[in-house]
Amino acid sequence: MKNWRNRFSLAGCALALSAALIVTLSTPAAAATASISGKISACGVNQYYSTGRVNSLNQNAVTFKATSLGPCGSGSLSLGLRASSGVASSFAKTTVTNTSSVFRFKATNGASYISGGTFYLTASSPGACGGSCGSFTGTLTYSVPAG
Amino acid sequence: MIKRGTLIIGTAIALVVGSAGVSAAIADTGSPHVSPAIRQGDTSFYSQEQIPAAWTAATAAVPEPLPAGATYPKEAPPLLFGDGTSNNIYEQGLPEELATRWWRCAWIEYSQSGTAARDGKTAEVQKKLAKWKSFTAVEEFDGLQGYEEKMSALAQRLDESPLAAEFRLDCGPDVYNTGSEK
Repeated sequence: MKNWRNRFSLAGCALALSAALIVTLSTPAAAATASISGKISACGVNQYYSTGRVNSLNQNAVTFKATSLGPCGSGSLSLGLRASSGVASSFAKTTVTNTSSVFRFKATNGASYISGGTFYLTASSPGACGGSCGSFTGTLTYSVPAG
Repeated sequence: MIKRGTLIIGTAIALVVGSAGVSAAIADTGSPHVSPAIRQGDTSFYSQEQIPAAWTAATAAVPEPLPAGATYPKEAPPLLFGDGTSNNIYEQGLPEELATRWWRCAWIEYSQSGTAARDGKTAEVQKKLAKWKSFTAVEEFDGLQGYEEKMSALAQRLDESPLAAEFRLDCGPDVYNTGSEK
């Protein structure tokens, strides 16, 4: 009886360890999120934001999910990423057109990933002209394994 | 005797007044300040036209010196010229952070070139780099918290040393422009 108990507790431990391992492996450890908000005051002006953020994987996916978009003009928001190097993989863009989808940044050189290292966010909106027209809020997710 | 004493007192007064004047001049010109031209709620932005002055002010405000022989470039890094048009504005804090980044890259380059090791200054470089995260222009950004740990993890994935990986990824020519010295 004692042996069976031991065997059951050993099996239980093994199951718990396996479950923990599966959870650990399936959760991207480096993934990071940031709440972003901004206001674009003039048509076609590119705004460069000051917060540097780090993509800590070699090949990263970066996405933006808007929770609100300015009510005027086209309602679209162009977001970009700038990094320290002029290589094309450091530049990425996405156009956010609604609050229901998750928009993924695409490297302008056609690569399927964003390189690792520090990046800065840029924003512009062709249809936002003054007042509260160009305001936006949302969540930026980065350091996600590009797949 | 009286004349000599008067001379000494007079000289002392002249030195005090003179040094006060120099101090005032340094205080007036040593910390140039540029007020961002664009304000949106709680956020302020520099216009493209303000960037040269903002860059000069930002480099002057970096609290630690560059390695011997290094000087900040006269022109702001290309990242502060946006997409090449004048329709770019820059949040207050970006030129300031990029100036500290330039400082950091200069120390990493000094370290990586082997000059630091030859001069027996490897430990000094490590101490300097450790100060970066406490600079005001860096400290106030949440996104850069844990920067060194994140870059070390990335370097490990790339099978490179942390400083070599950082220099390659975060000291590119859009940020660490070394072409036009002051």
